[in-house]
This record gives sequence, structure tokens and C-alpha cells, in this order.
Amino acid sequence: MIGAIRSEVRKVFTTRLWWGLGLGMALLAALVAMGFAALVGSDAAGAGDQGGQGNPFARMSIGTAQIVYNAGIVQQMTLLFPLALGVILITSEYRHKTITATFLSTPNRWVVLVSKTVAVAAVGVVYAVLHAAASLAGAVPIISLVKGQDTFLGEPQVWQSLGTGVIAFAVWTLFGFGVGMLIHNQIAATLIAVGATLVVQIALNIVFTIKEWYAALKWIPGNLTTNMLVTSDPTQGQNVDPATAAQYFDHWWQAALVLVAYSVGLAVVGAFLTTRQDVA
Amino acid sequence: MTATTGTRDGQIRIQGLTKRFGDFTAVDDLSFDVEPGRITGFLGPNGAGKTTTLRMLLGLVRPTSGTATIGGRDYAQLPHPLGTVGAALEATNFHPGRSGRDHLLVLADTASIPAARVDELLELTGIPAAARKRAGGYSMGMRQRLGLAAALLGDPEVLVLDEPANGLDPEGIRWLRGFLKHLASQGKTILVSSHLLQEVAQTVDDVVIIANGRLVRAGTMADLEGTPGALVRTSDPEALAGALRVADVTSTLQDDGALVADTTDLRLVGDVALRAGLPVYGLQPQRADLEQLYFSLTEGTNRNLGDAAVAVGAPTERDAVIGEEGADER
Repeated sequence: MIGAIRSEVRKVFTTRLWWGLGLGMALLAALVAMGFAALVGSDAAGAGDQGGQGNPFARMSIGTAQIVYNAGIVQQMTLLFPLALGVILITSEYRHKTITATFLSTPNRWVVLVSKTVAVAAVGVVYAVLHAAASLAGAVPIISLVKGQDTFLGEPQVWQSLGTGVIAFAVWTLFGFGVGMLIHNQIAATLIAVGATLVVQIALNIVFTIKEWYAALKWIPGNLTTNMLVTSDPTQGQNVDPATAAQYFDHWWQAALVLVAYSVGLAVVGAFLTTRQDVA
Repeated sequence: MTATTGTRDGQIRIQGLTKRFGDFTAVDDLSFDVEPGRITGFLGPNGAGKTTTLRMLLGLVRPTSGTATIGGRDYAQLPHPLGTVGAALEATNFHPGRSGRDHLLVLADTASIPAARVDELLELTGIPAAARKRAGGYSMGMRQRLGLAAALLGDPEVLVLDEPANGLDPEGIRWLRGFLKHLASQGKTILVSSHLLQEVAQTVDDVVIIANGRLVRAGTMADLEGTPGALVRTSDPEALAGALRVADVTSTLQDDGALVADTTDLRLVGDVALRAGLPVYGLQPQRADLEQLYFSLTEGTNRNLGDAAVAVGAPTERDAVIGEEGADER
């Protein structure tokens, strides 16, 4: 098992994919964080009218810091990178037929897939650290130097949120891995995973909101991720509509558990099918 | 290793192996053994079911029925797969962005094989420098060598190689032949597939020939080639056949009027003809025409070419004999 895990980790780090995607993700994360930081305290964010609109960016708070420092994730843009990474890590084995050599060296396919899951989650952690560093590098100078506001970097809740980002990345890499195991065609799997994240999630959000099914909103993976990261109300209690409050779980770990259950469930189904298939 | 009764370590045993994909039967009730210390050629036209058979042997494809074991065990049950069986299935199975050396290290990790062994094999297969470049730029010959290096990583007792000579230049084929002979001399079991008999004829000790997923013939290469003879052309072949019989040499008359004497002693045939006062127009050693023989065994049965190919070409006397032998062994 140890050998199989070491092999899978080496696989990830011996092609250029991981740092290519990682670099793109870090740049995007920094840009989105800069954009969000620029909103803080601006007139557009309602800073002029005493924050009566309940706009999260009216002034810096713990919740605002959590949103800004995880801006790429909250916007569901940078999560597409770990998602794509997860898809490609498994589908490239089928595309280049290296899966044959993999199953020959470790005939027990469950051992292979569990090892891959560990390796995939490990890369997710590397991405999370990279993402946090890039987001802070993008946002902090703007908030403290340009806006002259508190960065809230002394707050444990802000650091907890950045730490929870590790779970978010591991889960989203695992989502991609699960989709890749279900659909071995690399292009199809990538398009479906990205399409489901962007189009289907947005469609569900719109439908649930129109139908006023607020309680259903909290089960959507993207909302769960935000739920997990933003633990402090950035509007400081000004947004008190009980209907919209139903769209989040009360505790971040509840959201985390549901997300982990989703991703593990998807991976187990994919793994079960993969262990039974012929490798042609 | 505890082996099932009747199976030795390193012996490959295929028994009643069948694989159906829907209505299509790729491998049909196939049975044969591969012995240690010998090189066995696994032959058949494209689409005969060779690769499917090898993939079932290696646990990659699930048999519909039957078993394929190595030293009495299923591949998936081997405690040290890389140390027991080395397989090179296709020469294209490398990630183009990963170096050949890294590819081997990835495999070596799973069996805790040290990096030094990887470098040793790269030396042995003659690609130590090239293996540090990304595999996407490798030539076919380099891919074959890298595949062979991967197969040998765990110093296995059994080697399964699918079309290892494909894409090798004549120099590479010569190198491969010597290499395989060297490995067989160490007592390893070597199974080499090919769609060309001539390609492996000089290398293999045993042959297993399949067509349409069924066994056509299994035996030693020497049996397949038959006893070599002497082909002689003369004005009166009947008279020469009589004269040869007196000299204790049997012979067969061919359709084209040439006589095939069952001896390799060309001088004897010449002397007999001289004594009988018969002119000799041609005298040469006669070996089995492997290409012709292989065609007659597998031709007309290629299911991939449709029904038109089913009609078998006019069988010669020799084919009929082989056909019977083949039937006996089934």
C-alpha cells in the first residue's frame, strides 16, 4: 500500500500538469482576490449609506475577510482547477494506456484507487496552500495600503477559514477524480465536470431561488463550499431574512461533512465500476 | 510459492479459456501450456485473439470462462507481481510528458525496487541517456526497449511480451533475439506473441498458433518445420524414387514433378541418380516453407475479413498431414 501510494504521488509530480494548472490557478486566485479587495468600502458596495443594505463589502469584518481571502473559491472559479486536475489525473492513465502498467504492478484495483485518492487529496492540499498564498498576496496590500482598513489577519476565524480551504480543495479534486473514473474519455469527462460545476449549479441556484426552495439551496456543492469557508456573517446581522438564512447550514463542519460524503460517494461508485471493467 | 499440483513455478497454463464480447467470441475454449526455460511463440493473424488471451492471463480482462494461471495462481493472486511476471503489452503505453526513467521509477515504487535497479536496466537495454527525456519523443525502437526494461524491473521468472519486435530495425531485432535467448538460458519462461511466424522462427523453441480464438497447433518449432529433405529434379522421377528406395531413402513426388527425398544428404541423392543413369537438373536442401505453412494453418479463417475468406485454399498433401496433427492436439 505504501509503495502504491508513493508510486501515485510520483506520477502526479513527474509531469508538468500539476504546476501548469497550479500556476494558472494561483494567478486567477490573486486576480479575483484583488478584485474583491477593491470592492471593500467602495461606494458601489454601499459604504456611503451607512451599510444599511447589508452589503458584505461595506466595510471589513471577519466575514468579509473570509470572502475576500477565498474569493476564487467563493466565486467557484479557482475550484475548476483542482476539479480538472482530478479528472485529468485518472483519465490520462486511460488516454495514454498507462493504466495497463498500473494494474500490472498492483493487480488489486482497490489498492490502486485508494492510493490514487490519497495522492489526489495530497495534491489538493498543495493547491490549497498555493491558493491561500496567492489570494493573500493579491488582497492584503490593497486592503491595508489602498483601503487603509484592518486586514483581520489576527483573527483565528480568518485562519480557520483558510485552513478549511484545504478540505475544499481535497474535495473538489476528488470530485474530478470520481467523474474521471465514471467517464474515461478525457475530453468528455473534463467538459462534463466543468459544465456541471458552472451550468448545472447556476441553473439549480436560479430554479431553487425562483421557487423559493431556500432549504434546498444548501445542498448544492458550491454553496456548501461557501458555507464551509465563510463562518462569520459579513453583513454583521443586517441581513435577517429568515427565508434566505435557510440556505446555509448552521455550522461549517456540517457543510464539510456533506461535501466529503458527496465526493467520497462519487469516488466509490466510480471505483466500483473501474474495478470491474476490462482494460483493453 | 505453493503451486497447484501438476503446475511448476513459472509455468503458464491456459485451460478452457473463453472470452465473449456480446455475440462475438474473441477467445474460444483455448488450452495450452508454456514451459519454463523455453521461448514460446504465440502466433496468429491480427484479430485472432492473442492480445485478449494475454490480457486475461494478466488479469486485465475477465475471462467468460476457463482459467489462465502462472505457477498455478491467478495473476491477481500473485504476492509479488513484478517479481513473478514481467509484461510488455504495447509499445505505446507511456505518458508522453513523463521521462522513461520516471516511468520506470513509478512502477519500481510499487514493489520497493531501488532506483539503482532502474538505471541498471536502462544500461542493459541501451537507453540510459535517452530515458531522461520525455517519452513523447521516443522512436518505436526506444519504446520497445523501455517496455522491455519495465518488464524486467522485478527480475521476474516469467516474461510475457506482445509483439516485441514491432517497429524494431534489423539491428534491433538481432539484439532482441540474443537478449531473449540469454534470458531463456537463465531458466525464465518467455511467451512472445507475433503475427508473423518468420519473425520469431529463429528465436522460439515452441509455438502456439491460434486463429479465430481457437488453438490451431501447439508443439515444438522442430515439429512444425518437419524433417528437412532434399529436393531433386530429374527426367524420370518415378525411376529415381525406385532407385532411392533401394538405397533406403523414402521420397515423395510433388505435383510439379520434383521429388522430395527424406534425407539431408545431397551427395547420396546425387550418387544414386548417377548410378541409376538419371540426369539431375536440380538438387537442393528442402526446408518447410514456414510462410506457406503458417498461411495454410491460419488462412481462410480470418473472421475479420468476412465470409468470403472462409473457403480454404486447395490443401496440399503436407497441409492435410499437419491438419490431422493439429486436430490430435486439440
